[in-house]
Amino acid sequence: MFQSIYDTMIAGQRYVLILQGLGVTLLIAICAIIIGTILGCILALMKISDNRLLKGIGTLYTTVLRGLPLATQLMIFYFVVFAPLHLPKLVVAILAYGLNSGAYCTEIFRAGIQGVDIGQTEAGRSLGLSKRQTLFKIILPQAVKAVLPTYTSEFIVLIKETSVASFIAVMDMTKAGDMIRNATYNAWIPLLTCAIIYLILTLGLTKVFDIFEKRMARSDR
Amino acid sequence: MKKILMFALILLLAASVCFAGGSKEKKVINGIADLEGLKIGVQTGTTGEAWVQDNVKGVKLNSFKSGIDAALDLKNGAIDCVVIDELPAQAIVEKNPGLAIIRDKAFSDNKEEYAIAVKKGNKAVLDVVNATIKELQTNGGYEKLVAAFMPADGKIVIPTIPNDAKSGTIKLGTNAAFPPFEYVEGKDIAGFDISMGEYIAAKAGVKLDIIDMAFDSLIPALQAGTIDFIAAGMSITEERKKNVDFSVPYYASEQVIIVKK
Repeated sequence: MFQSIYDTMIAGQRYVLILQGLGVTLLIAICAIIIGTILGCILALMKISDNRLLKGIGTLYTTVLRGLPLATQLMIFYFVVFAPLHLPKLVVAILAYGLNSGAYCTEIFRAGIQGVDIGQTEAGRSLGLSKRQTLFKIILPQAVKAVLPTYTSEFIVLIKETSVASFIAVMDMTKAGDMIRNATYNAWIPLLTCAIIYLILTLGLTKVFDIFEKRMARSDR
Repeated sequence: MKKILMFALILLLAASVCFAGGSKEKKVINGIADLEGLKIGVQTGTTGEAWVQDNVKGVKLNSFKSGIDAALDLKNGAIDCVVIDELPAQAIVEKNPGLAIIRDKAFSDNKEEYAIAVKKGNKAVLDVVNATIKELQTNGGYEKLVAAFMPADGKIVIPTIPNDAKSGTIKLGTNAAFPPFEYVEGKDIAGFDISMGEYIAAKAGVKLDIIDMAFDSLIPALQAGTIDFIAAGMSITEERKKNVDFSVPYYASEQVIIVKK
């Protein structure tokens, strides 16, 4: 048992592949969630605005990007959309995941903003605050608290979704596991290793966001 | 509650054992004629896959990302046999004593030729590739590569190919699950095709950048310009010729069948 783990993972420095893959997985997930969050904020504001055009763009964006499977999207971005630009494949992956995550973040944020009681807006407006002031000073702070749990799960989904990055030859952790499987004819050790690392990542993330949530909940009391 | 769960678990285990045991019926395969109606594993996008689709009646085709995954599934007993190129089959059987190779005259009479593929009309790269292959075939370099990667004693020695290029890269697309042509050695990708790629890069005066991807993604990647050439034990076929330009062939291979002993 330990011998086969040694033969599969340690011999020939194959664990380095997993570590490199882990780095790529984390890089994609973190960059993508940053892009996704920024995009999500902008698009969510667009979707709740009164401007028909902005609203339409936001709706179209979320419809298309949430409506297609991620693997399909990834390949469309790599082989079609960004192909003429000759971007490095890692950059394409980050952009594709970021753009996709942006669509989900938009919906999460929109739901959060619209979930704040309308009475809060009315109160803000009747106190003489402008529309913008009401949004930024009264609605958003409450919305952030409300969206945190769903936002966490979006981040977790994103980490897990990076496992299809190998469709466009990005060497993420799952691909590293594939390579080890192909080199050693052993399926379960590399797969289990990847599974455990993914679990540690998602568990750790949940814990971190739990702490945030608890801190924010302080003001409730 | 706990008891019910335990019971369900035991039931599930028993059921899976029954199914696994019950459906096992040893199929005797001696050649192409016996393949009809079987569950056959192949690698997606390969000539083996196309051949099985076109020639085997009532086949239940299982296309895998790599031939090695197909072999693993064969070992697990989920499929009856794997149709794959000769040398990768030998490499697989060598490392998996439970498997054996079946040859068929129909396969050996229809040898396939491996060649390097470039984007249609990319004469610049094609010329370098062809010049390199011809040079290797005349100066003994080709025999050295064969001796290195297909040694009689099974001990592969990966040659180092000098390349003093300082700038520029040429991108080689491959699928590193096809030993001895391309495979993962430790944490690097090596193989016959990779070494040939090194020679090509050296001839072009640039560094080699190896990109490992799914076999069926290679031609789209070439067309999209994300790789410069494919060196992946790719056989010349009429279908592929419509989409890429092939170099002169560098190796003749045939399909074989891998079965469980």
